[in-house]
Amino acid sequence: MTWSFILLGVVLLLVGGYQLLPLSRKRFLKNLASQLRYLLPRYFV
Amino acid sequence: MTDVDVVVIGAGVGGLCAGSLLAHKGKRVVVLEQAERVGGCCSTFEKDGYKIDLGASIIEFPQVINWAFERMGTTFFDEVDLVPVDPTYTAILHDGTKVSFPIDLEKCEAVIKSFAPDQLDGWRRYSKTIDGFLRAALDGFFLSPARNTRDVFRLFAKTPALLKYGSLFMNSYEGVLRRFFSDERLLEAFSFQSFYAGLPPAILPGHFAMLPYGEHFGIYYARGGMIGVPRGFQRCGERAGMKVELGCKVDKLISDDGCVKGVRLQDGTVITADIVISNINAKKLYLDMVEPGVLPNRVIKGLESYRYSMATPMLYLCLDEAPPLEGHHTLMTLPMKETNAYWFDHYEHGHFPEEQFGILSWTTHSDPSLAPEGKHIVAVTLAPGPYRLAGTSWDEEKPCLKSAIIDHLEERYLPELSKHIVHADLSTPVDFERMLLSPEGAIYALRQDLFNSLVFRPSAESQHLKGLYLVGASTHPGGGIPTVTASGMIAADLIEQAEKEGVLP
Repeated sequence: MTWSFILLGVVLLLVGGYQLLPLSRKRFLKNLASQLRYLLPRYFV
Repeated sequence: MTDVDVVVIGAGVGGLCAGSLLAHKGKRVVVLEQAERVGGCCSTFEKDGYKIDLGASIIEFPQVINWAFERMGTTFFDEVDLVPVDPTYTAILHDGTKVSFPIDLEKCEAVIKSFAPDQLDGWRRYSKTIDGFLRAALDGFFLSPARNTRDVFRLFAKTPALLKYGSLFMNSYEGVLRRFFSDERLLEAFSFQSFYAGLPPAILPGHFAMLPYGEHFGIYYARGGMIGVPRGFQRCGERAGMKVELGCKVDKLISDDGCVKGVRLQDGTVITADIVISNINAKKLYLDMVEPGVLPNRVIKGLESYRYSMATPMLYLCLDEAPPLEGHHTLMTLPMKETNAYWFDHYEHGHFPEEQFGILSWTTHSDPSLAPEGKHIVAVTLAPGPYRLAGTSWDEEKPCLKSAIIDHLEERYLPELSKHIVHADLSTPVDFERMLLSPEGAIYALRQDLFNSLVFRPSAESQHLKGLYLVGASTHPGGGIPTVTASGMIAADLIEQAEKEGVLP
């Protein structure tokens, strides 16, 4: 139960923190996040 | 015995640099170029007595290019007639304000002081930070390979000072500049340079915020046209026996048992070699020129995930009198927010507006001999152009777009322009693709965001085909004349090292 609350708190903090970021920072992070799944295959090229 | 020791596919600056360095090490090198002239994007063509630059319009970080020439017992300044460009550029802001930034840092500080007095402290902090970063990066970043995590650890171990600037990599170009400046007009004057690395300020990695400051290390123009740079490498290589074959298109890479064996040309001719250096787009090389079945699926998936870098349409203007500009380089800018909005609201949706921003390169200001006496050339680097236009095509739009852009330039930047045009030509992303065989007309091969850099960019030494090396914008450290030169030096070093270790035949 305690761990669930901690996890929920962390998620809320991350989401809230992201919402507070300026638009340009959000775009920067969003662009990086959209490419995370390609990192491993790109590493092998 | 192979036909030659090294085949270089593509006579761009990176290919010619690697080829000439290896020729000076005693290798038999042949460079194969599909076009009728060398240089790729850094080239010059002639039309009715006007020598017009195809794409690249200035040389930044000449010291990096000089390192390559020094390895061949000469200097960049001895091989290429370089004309200093000063001021770095004049920015014409969207509100019509003009501001010129002199090369000399003291003079530049005086300009900042009069243009935005409250930003002087920010400029000093920015200069200090970026100067420290650049000096560390020039030593460690440019000439170190980034094939794998071990290389990256070595890179930072060799230049631990770079670690101090780690936060630059985790922020955007815009984010870094906003740490130092709050004046929107000054930010606007520094905003366009983000496209020198192919992305808008909001998503370009923050370490590229060194670009506006880096220009104060010196900017040059090659007398006779930008083709002077690749021709300098060509001359050096040819002195050591390197051969350059023009109009020679490579069709396939020949390999056997995980090792390259040479190339097959479009006319069926086979040239055998144990080392092949590719100066073409890595995605095209691996997906179109390597035999199916050679590369594992995970590599194909990685290659397919890369997005091509932006293309920039160019408008070439030949004029019968001097344009009303202040120097070689003029930036037509938009406020930073609008520069970003252009990318996300227009470029990403396939729109290319008539109201343009970009660069006006008055090349005859630096070298009047490029045009007949009394005549002038302005090469206009337009805003990034989407390869696929929404609902239409470049070929269809070209005639109308050309006249609409000329009207816009006349109205805002070059009064009475149309009266003085002797010749005007618009080169679109599709034209670039046809001319340079660069997929989607990409000028920096692949996008240059953080997850397309270092170990995530195609490796300079192929991990799957022994004897295959990559140079040019597709590999680390990326696109731009000094960086592709550095890629040529990295490839030459890796080949030398592999031979010492007995890895190559």
